[in-house]
Amino acid sequence: MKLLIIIPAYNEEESLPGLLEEVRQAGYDAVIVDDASSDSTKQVAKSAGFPVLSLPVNLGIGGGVQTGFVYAERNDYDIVVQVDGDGQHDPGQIPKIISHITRGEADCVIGSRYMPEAPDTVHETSFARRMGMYFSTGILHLATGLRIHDTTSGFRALNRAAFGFFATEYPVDHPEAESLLLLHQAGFRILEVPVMMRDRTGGQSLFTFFRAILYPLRVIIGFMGILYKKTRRNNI
Amino acid sequence: MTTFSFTVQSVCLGGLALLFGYTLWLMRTGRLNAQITVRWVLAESAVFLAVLLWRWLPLFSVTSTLGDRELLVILAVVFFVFIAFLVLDCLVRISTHTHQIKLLTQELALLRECTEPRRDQKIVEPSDRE
Repeated sequence: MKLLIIIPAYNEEESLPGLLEEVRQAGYDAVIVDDASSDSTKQVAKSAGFPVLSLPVNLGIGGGVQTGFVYAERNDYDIVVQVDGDGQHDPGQIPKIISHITRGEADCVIGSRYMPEAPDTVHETSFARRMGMYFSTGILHLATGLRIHDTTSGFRALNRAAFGFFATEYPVDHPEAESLLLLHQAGFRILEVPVMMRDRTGGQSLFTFFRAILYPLRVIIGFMGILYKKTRRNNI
Repeated sequence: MTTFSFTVQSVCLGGLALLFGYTLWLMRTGRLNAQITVRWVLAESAVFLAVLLWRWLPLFSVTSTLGDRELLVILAVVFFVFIAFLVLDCLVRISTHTHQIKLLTQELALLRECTEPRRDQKIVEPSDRE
């Protein structure tokens, strides 16, 4: 099975070299999506010898990751794993995440920090992110009945059907929770596996205090849009 | 109709005529795309006709039996609906263009990935020959 690692990166010149070295040593194919960084992210990624999708304007994490899905689809990959460019996701845990997909047990597997049986006690999540995560977890449960413990995790593996679906339809801003709702609505199977995450090795998180305030509103509007679309499809 | 309502009608028509003139001037100077402005011009014309013919329109004919203040309230509500429609229309257009720009940006990035290695190769080739 052909596996591709999609690494969305925005101003990650400090974190990227270490992460790319780990990916190279593990022997995976990878593509870096440079979301119009103002630093030397593109040059760092190119010098590592991996293909780089260089977006001329900043599309946000959703647009960047979706570009990776389109790339994977056009190059006939079977599985994609999304790994953040900040170095928080350990490529060494990829076999654990993809195992459920290769066995055909799930279409999407989320690397989770908060599973009750094996919580990540090492990595410390910021208060704003934790609040956002609890909110999106609750609203996803209300909307679908799904019990996902880490809805904001960007460490995910998808099979061909799921990333092919995302290549045509993927939320733009804070896509993690909304994308789970989209997958659920389309009938894909979602699983969580416990993973350990690391602290970012450089750069700054995009989930600032101001964004955290707006996050619940964005999630509610995004969910309403997806649920309304579903209702309309059903009626048709 | 009272004299007051006639004054309000005149002010509205004057204001709309000025707005229409300004729209045409913006189009003439190339700052407004004619295709995009079509809906706005249609909406403006509809409001112009509504104000011009309000004596015969069911909604406004009610105002002839009301006092001056009620006429203004109805005008304010209609104005608000008009502005809300325009804002929504603009949002729809912005959303469409945002989606198109996103698709173009993604395609450009994918195309660059295919062509840039070839371009680098071409740049390197002459020096290799030397």
